[in-house]
Amino acid sequence: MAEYEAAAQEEEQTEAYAPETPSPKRKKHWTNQEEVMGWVFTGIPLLGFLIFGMIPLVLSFYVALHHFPGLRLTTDLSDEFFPYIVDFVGLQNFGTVLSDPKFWQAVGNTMFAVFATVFSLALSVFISMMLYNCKRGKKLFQTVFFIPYVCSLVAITFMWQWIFSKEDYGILNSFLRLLGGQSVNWTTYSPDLFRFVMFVVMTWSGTGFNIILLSAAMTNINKSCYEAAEIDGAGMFTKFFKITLPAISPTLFYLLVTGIIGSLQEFTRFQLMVGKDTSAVGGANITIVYYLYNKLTSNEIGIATAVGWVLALFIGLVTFANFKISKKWVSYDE
Amino acid sequence: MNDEIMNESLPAEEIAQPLNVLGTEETEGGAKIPAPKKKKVKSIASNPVNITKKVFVYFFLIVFLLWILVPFYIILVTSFKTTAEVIQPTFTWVPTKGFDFSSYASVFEPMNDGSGLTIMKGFFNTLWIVLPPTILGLLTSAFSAYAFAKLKFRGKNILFGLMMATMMIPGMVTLVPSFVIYDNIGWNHTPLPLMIPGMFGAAACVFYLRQFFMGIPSETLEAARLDGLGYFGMFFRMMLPLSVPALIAQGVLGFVGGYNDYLGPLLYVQGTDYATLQVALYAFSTQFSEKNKLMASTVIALIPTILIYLVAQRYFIEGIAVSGLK
Repeated sequence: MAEYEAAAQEEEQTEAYAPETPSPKRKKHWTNQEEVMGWVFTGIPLLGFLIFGMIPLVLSFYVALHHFPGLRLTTDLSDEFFPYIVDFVGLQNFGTVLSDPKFWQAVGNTMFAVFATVFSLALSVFISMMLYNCKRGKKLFQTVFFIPYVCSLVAITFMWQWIFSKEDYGILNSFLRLLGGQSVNWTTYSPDLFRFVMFVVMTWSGTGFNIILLSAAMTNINKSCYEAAEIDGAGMFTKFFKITLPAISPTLFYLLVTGIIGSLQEFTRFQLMVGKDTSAVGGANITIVYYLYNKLTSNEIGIATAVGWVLALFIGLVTFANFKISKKWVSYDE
Repeated sequence: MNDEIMNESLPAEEIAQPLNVLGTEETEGGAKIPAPKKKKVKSIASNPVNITKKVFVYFFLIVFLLWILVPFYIILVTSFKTTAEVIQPTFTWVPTKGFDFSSYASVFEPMNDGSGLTIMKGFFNTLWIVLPPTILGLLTSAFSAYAFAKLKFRGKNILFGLMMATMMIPGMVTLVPSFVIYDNIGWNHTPLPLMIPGMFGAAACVFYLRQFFMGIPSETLEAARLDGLGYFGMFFRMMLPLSVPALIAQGVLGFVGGYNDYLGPLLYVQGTDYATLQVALYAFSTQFSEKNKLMASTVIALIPTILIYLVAQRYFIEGIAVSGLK
């Protein structure tokens, strides 16, 4: 309401200094109020973004370059903003991270998640092609295929954990033994088995979003292109590679970039799948964010922030590389 | 032949309604049935290649449908079994001893770490932690989008650029410093870090709503202004009612995102009275080994978002399709 008053004051001033014809004066009054309103309306969210985005961002430089002896998790409000004794250590935190074999193992595990994401994108293209050629029940299929996207990752992980339970009564083991096989210790024994399980889980929940966007892109393709190609005697594969793929390439590219960025930050499913005994699969479940989380919860603040920066660098590099490569295969012309 | 068309237009029309934002040609096809009648019947019925193709397409679609749905069925049927039946070595597709709902009582069962946390408590915690920032954030985003779309003021482009720039800040970089800040101002172990930042809106939401608002003709607003509506009046009486679909789209996306969030609650409210559903589910899984109980809780955790999706499907897909394709 204070802004209203300010606007009113400004209006008075303009009236005093600019005794013009009524209509432009009215316009002036409008403009002043509009100006204030514009600033208020856009300023409030922006202020929030700056406080909760910019301050931590600036602080992250400081934290990454200093040694923090620990974060007191029992909080008492101190007069000092930083009740820590900190030493400037330069890039030492980054050095610690980059020379830690466990970090590189985490990078490898995360790359596996990226691989699973790319695979589920390829599968999504296939399913979208099927949907495109499907006349009856298309909406039902689309509706169901999208459901995993809205599901909580925690719930989904427990769902698959039960299916892949190592017990004899676990769903998959129960079927395996029915077929004459033996129970398999899926999620707590071998890194390879664990990766297989994660591959299944990520493929299951990774396709819904892709399929919706890809189907939308495919229905926007001009049908006459296909008809013309058929007249020219083009086969299924020719039509796919010469018409469909170029037409959906912008969507595909968008999904690839966002999918990779998302899987570089994979955490929930990998953390929960193994259960309590986190060292069970030889560290195959430690992704980069899980590594960061472990550092944060063990109060290695500087190191955790450095991990965050390295991860951001990876994301930047992947995005940059994708944009470079995309010039070769993404066609934006209509 | 008539059958063919009837069948196609009826169910497709009905299910299509919520989804047709995508601009699929399905519904249009339904409208212009009479013209291509002959051609269609010919191509579907008499061409063996098309029949093979149809079989091929539907085979994969149905396999994929089962692949998505069977895991849901498995947890549902597990939650209806007794603990004794769950540990039977052979899995049965229906509960052999009839449907048993007792495992659902476990959502009221307190965790044995003395915290008094139950799945139900987690659910209500999630509601009051997620709803206020979703609604308030939507409102602030809408105000801001309205200003960016319809008001003229100095520095508008700079402010807009600044807002878009905040979207570029990588979340993983600010995660740790934010944690340090919240810990120092006493927000750790409270739901405040999960609530307050969201109340200022989200840049992506501002961007989306701005696109939508720009589509509303300025003449309408001009007319409203001549009728004596102020800026707030125009916003609440004109912009908001005209953009209900866009608001629902963003609101639903925001709520589902907050509801499913795990890392944030894990950092800030785990082990407190404010534990959200996702964190409660995690605590539950570490304390109870009975799979029928865990699956009952999992079903409870899944139902709200799936329901919201099915009810608000149109808005949901719209929100995603637009933010994805732009």
